[in-house]
Amino acid sequence: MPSNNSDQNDTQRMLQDSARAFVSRSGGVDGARERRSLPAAFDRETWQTMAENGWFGLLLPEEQGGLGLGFAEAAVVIEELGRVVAPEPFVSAIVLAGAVLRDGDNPDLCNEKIENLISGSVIPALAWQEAANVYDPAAITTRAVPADGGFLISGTKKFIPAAAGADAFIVSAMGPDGLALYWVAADAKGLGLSSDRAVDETDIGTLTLDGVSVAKDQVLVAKDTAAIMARAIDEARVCAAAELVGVMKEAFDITLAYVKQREQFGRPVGKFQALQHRLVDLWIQQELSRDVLGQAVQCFDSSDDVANRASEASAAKARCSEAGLLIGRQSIQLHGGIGYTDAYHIGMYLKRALVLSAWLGNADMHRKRFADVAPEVAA
Amino acid sequence: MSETRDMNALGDDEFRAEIREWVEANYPEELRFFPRRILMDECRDWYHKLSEKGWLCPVWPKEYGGMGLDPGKFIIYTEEFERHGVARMPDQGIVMVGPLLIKYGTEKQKEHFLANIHAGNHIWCQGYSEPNAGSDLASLRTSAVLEGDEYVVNGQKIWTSLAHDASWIYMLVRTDKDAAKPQEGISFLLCDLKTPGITIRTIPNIRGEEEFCEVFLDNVRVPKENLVGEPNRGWTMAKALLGFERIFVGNPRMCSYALNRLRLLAESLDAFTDAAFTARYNKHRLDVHDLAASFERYAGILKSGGEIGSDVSFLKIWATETYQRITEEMVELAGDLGSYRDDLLLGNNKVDVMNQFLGSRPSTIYGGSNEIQRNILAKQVLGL
Repeated sequence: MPSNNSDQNDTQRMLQDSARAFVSRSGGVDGARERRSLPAAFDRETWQTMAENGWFGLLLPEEQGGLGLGFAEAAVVIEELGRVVAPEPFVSAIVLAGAVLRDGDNPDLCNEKIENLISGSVIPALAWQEAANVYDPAAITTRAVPADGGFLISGTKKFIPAAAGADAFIVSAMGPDGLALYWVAADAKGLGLSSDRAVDETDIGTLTLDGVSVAKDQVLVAKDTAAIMARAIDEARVCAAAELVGVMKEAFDITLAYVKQREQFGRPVGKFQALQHRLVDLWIQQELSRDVLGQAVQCFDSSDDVANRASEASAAKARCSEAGLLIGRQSIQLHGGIGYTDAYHIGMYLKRALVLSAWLGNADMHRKRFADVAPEVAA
Repeated sequence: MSETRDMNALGDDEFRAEIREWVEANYPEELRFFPRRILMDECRDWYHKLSEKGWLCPVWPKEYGGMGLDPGKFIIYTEEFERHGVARMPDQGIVMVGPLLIKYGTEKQKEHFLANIHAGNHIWCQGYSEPNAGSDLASLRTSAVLEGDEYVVNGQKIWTSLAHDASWIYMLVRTDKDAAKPQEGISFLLCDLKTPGITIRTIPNIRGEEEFCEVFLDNVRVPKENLVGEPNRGWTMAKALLGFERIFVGNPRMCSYALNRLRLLAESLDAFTDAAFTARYNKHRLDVHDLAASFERYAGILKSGGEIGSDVSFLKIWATETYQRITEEMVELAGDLGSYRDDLLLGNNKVDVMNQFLGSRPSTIYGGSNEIQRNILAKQVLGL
């Protein structure tokens, strides 16, 4: 008897229906796995369908052409994408890149890019990180030097999700007036991109910029850049947590169905108490994940307080990363031998959890960050 | 006497402020954050004060002298009592017997027993568990056989909390040995502990306290009008009493308190310079933070008029096991001092390491052990 808590509103139910219809039309998990073998590791046509569903404007304000909805709505769609381990870079290209465009101080340029983002015609990637496990947007060495009325940018950017499919990069660099974000087309001269495959077969790019020339009017953000980026990164963390919740829920559902059907010793293995208790413990982690995510989503939809947002994003990313990995590992174990085969889908859930956990700070990093930003509660 | 207003009509903040102000002004300072279960003689004045104010029975309907609070207001009421460190009184009459009688009792039973609870004359204890019926409660064997106008009761109850401090016991007894299922032959019986044939023996617990008891029943004659509801329907009634209050076993308060003690201990021992300890501490912190998030979801369901299902059991599992992990961390951190029975005095700080550690042990046993909770979740929520 589950609790009576139909906490979704009509918009959220509609979005969930539309997301479920989309994932089924796009071939479910089979389709999502096939799309990884494309050169960009995701499918441009699928991307276009997502755009036509109106999802790319969910989090953007109406005055910028978006739908002006919140994280509660975005999370519904993202969870469904997580359930089929979709490779399309919704969180990195739409949430993360979209947030800096939304908050940028060059409205003409930003609004033009947002229009293309929402229509799906241009896929941007935020290229900001330079060293592993460093998440301070200002801790970079990439420079933008004034030249010919514009800038020459040099440096190296790492850990860029879906870089191979990006049409343009939003590059952070130290300019003459401090940290700024620049729009750089993927075919710009002096730009080098090398790709690594993540364990889930999606793309992780390293971008080298060797005196890449950028026009003066291609600066997206020049004021409060670090704060704008930090805000965007925390928003992406909450959405990555939502994707992890989708991943773990589906992995758990698949595993639960399996132990009910798989018979050994003359009965379904799910009748054995040792397995029942383990499944309950996994389910508890899933419930905690959805609740801490729910709290973070509510915070992001109602509060602009930076410290509050930071601690809730870290709490959600920490729990969802840890639980996603735990459920991913145990799902393989509970399947036995078949769980270790490539043909069976369950292993892909662990791989997706590995990628989403590592991105933007893993559980360990976020527990430390939570301790740094959240005030201790008095007894 | 009762509260004449409908306090549900107050705004949440207004209601909270009023509860807080009154509790702060009236609760005896020396009883705040009482270190063990309090006995009736130690809190009688407070009991009467609450009763006179009409605030003794927050969820009983107003017509029975309760406050008739809706779940949302009741959560606030509880939060304010806990925040101030109000001790849990011998409350079985208020929490269990009242709601049982209001739902299933005769007019005569209600009139007599509810008034005596309000007046503090009857202090109740719960006679459920038996030596061979713990987790498998339905196998209980204490028998009640009707002879004329009386039930003759024979058997033994155990783990009866504060029976030695109580004047009445409400019991599950077997009235039909031949029922098709063990659950179907059980009835609810109310019994005056002064009745001849009753012997109560305390069982000191591992903290050295006398909190629970054995109750021996040897040809105890109970008037048949003390049976509640229909005969052989006791199991169903007991289950129906598991209302929304179930969420309180998942209250993060206990864990927050222990976490604060752990922090105090760590500061006293300069342990936050140790990265390994700090990492573990941060993990405990988030375990408590996330428990609070889950607790809030269930509180939200209640506040919006929804119903709590058996999935709420996970709060009990997570709250109690997190509580235990934190107290285990305290013992580990205390090192040589981790063997001391009494509170540790470290500089100006007093930390009740062993009290917390031992005190957290029964939390995973009572109210349906955590193993039973997992069985329930596996069956009812996961469909296994």
